[in-house]
Amino acid sequence: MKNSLSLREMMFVARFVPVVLLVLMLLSSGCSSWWVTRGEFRDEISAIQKKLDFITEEQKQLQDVENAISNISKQLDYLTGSEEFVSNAEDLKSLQAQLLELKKLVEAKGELIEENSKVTQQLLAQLDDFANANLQGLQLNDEIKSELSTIQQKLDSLAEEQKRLQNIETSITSLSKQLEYLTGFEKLSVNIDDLKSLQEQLSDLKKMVEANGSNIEENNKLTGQIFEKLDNLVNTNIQQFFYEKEIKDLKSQLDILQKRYEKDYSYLDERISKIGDFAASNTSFVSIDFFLAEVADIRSRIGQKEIEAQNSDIITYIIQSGDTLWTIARAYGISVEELKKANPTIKDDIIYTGQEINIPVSLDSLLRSDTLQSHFGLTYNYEILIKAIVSPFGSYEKGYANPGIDLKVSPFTAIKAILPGHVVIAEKLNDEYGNTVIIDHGNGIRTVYGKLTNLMAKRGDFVRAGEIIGESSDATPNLHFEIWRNDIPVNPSEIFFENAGDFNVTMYTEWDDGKNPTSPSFKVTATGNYVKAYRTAAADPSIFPPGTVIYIPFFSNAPNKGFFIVEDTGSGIKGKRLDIYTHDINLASGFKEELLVYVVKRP
Amino acid sequence: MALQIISRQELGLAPFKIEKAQNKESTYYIVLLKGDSELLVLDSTFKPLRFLEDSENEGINDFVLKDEKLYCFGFFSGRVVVYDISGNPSRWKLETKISTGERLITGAFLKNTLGILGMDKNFLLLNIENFEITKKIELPVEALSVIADSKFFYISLFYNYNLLNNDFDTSYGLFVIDPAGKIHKKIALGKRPSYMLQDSDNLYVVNYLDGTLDVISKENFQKKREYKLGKLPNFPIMNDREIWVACIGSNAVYQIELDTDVVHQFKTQGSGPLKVLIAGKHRYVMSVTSGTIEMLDSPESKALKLYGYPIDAVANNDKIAVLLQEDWLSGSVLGSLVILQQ
Repeated sequence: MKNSLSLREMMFVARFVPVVLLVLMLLSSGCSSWWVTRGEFRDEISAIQKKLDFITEEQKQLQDVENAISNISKQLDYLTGSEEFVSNAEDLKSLQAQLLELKKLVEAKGELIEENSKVTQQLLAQLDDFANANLQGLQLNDEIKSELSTIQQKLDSLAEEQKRLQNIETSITSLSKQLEYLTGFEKLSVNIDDLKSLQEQLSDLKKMVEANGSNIEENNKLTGQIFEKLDNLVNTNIQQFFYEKEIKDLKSQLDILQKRYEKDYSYLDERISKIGDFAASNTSFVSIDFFLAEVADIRSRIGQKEIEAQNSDIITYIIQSGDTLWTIARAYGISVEELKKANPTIKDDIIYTGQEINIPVSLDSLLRSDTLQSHFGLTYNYEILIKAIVSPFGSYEKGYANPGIDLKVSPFTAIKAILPGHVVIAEKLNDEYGNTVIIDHGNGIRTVYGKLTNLMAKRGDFVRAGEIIGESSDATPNLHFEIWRNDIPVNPSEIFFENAGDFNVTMYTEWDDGKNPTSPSFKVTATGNYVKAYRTAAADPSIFPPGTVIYIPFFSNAPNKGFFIVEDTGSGIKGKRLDIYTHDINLASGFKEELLVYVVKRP
Repeated sequence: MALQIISRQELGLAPFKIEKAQNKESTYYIVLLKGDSELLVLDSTFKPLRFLEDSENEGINDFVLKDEKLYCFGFFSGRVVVYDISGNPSRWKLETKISTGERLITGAFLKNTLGILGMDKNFLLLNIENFEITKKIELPVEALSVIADSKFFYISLFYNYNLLNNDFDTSYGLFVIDPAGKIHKKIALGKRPSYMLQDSDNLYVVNYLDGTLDVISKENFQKKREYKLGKLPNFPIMNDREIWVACIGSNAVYQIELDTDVVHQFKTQGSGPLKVLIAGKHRYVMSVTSGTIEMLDSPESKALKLYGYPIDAVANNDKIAVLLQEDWLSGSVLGSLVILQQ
């Protein structure tokens, strides 16, 4: 690591240079030493400015390092707080402490670099002012060249240090990702020796950050070793637990469905077993993405089955305290007479808490086809939806499968109830959910609206569909939405989008039809657009015309959050077939899945 | 020394090609932005100078340079668009547009005749002195590329093999055509002959689907030998007496020493290697799946992440300009120009 100028030295230089320039200006006439031209001086300034811009950009990445470390700490907090945690709590606490120290060190480095950058920018501003001054025949001597050269070296040194921290950033981000899988477990059994070795290596990493003399190669080697250790740790212990836990959860949900409706869900059962068997035999780190994708698809299907199983013509509702025939009828858009007619056992308009009544309306008829827009203010646009989804249904960012969806909508958007129902909760639930409204709609369906600000419904209210229940805040995310039927979470896509059913999905690359880059149609779709990974899909135009936006839950953890635009066709893509574009030949070659697909928007 | 990124600039939709344009005044570079059919001129340090006018509606697929003139092939317009690129780029101007009635792909010069490949299985000969089409030759299938020497045009019949019915649509892979437009020779090659190189004695033709490189004698147009490469070989590059070919399907680069017939294989760190770049004494390969560039002759050096889809590159002294057809950092469909320092 090169020694960079200290803050004091930089300030000294900053004071010194303008004086030199001033003296030179006074003595400029008649001097005959070798000169740098004004043009060259301006070029130097310009080159240095560009470099500073580059470094400023790099600077922002330190924020990501800190965020990554913060994530690790949170995960460890959760872990060490778990009551059923078996062994090694002390070791993990020690791990936690080390990471905190690491965090402080990186912060300190970041501050120093920022300070140095500021001083250098001030110096440059002074030099710039001078160069802009209206001085005819400005001449600069070797001393000025030397000052410029010093600045250049300083900047080189800053860039070098940034690079080192970048390497550390990469390794810490990976650490965080690996440690994510430690959360959500009821029991954790970790080999003590492995953990101690991990601690030692983190300690070495910390020393590296402290030591100015370390070099990038050593850093890379050490972080490579840490990866390997963690990989083994995860593979042999943690990942297996994670897979087993998730498969168990899915099977439990399916059991509930089967007992409840006595229908044949063997297809789903087979699918869960298949992924379970696959996970048991192949716990390599790479397969975790595939496992999560499959689980997202299966969870969506289970929720879909639960929603489909409801009686579509009437709503069965259990009376709650405070309900009246009038409030119920008003909310569902029918008359009291119609309600009584559907419930002949009701006498003299008297109803009782816990009494089950039938509301002669279908929930489907009350749902709007543009719920996302009409109730949450989100346009059905590919780019907008990708940006708006912060955490999709079934994602594991919080350490458990998200039972709903986290969105970023416009701040202070009026959030409306998607269906009529009784408000069962309207208060701050906890730190994670924040201000939350939960509504019982009948038919076992409940919706949850979390992270609200300015609650406008209160417990006991009977709201209509479209009634404002609160506002989104200005945080990110600022709306959490769930929909449940009985005790099964349903993918909100069932409400927001049109379920198109199962499709045979394959993947294709730009190389598949034997084209080459100089072919006029290389990477050009049937619609004349250029293909883009995580965006372009090819479909049968009679099923999905070009321009159709679709959503595939299997891909909900991908950068496009599962959204694609149908931009291409293919001679073999007929009927319920989809071909998803990727530039990864290896990924495309073996991919073939039957996946659930929703239509978001038709052209 | 490791490569470093020193600048990154968004260019436009689907940058495709960057080529050196030397005139009497200086060295410049011309970038083809296929998506918007734009031509961007850079100076010798790769700094953008200007766009050439009147190209947006042409659907330019490719261009070639000769005698301080730029000849562009309009795929949508069917026109050859000619620019005078003598002197300072501020004075470069459109000279003429010649309608051909065909969708144009690419071309090559044989003296004063420009041989142009059309999309619809034809090959046109254009006299560049009077801009008259002198001949139109029907080809049995769509061709991909054309090169020329002082005697003949050589055309690769890329679509000789039909992937839908897994059979040859024509038994020939290469046509040799004289300046008068007469087919001098028809040569059988492998499946999907793509790009070609040449020296005074031989033609070197990559067979894309077979994964081979055929050496054809220019004396008798017989196949002299075949080199086995990896899967899906792409752009071949010739440097001195060596040919370098990146094989996108094998994650490998092949170096063929023509004088000794020795073939070396280099496994790449990146995946999906597309093209080799010779930059001074170093050889680099760009990989499109991993979005990286790496030095081939230095196994200790690590592949540099470009965060984009590298489609072409040139080197000038210690700098390398890489065209990214997609920029993954921005997330948009636009491409960028990344300048690297060796």
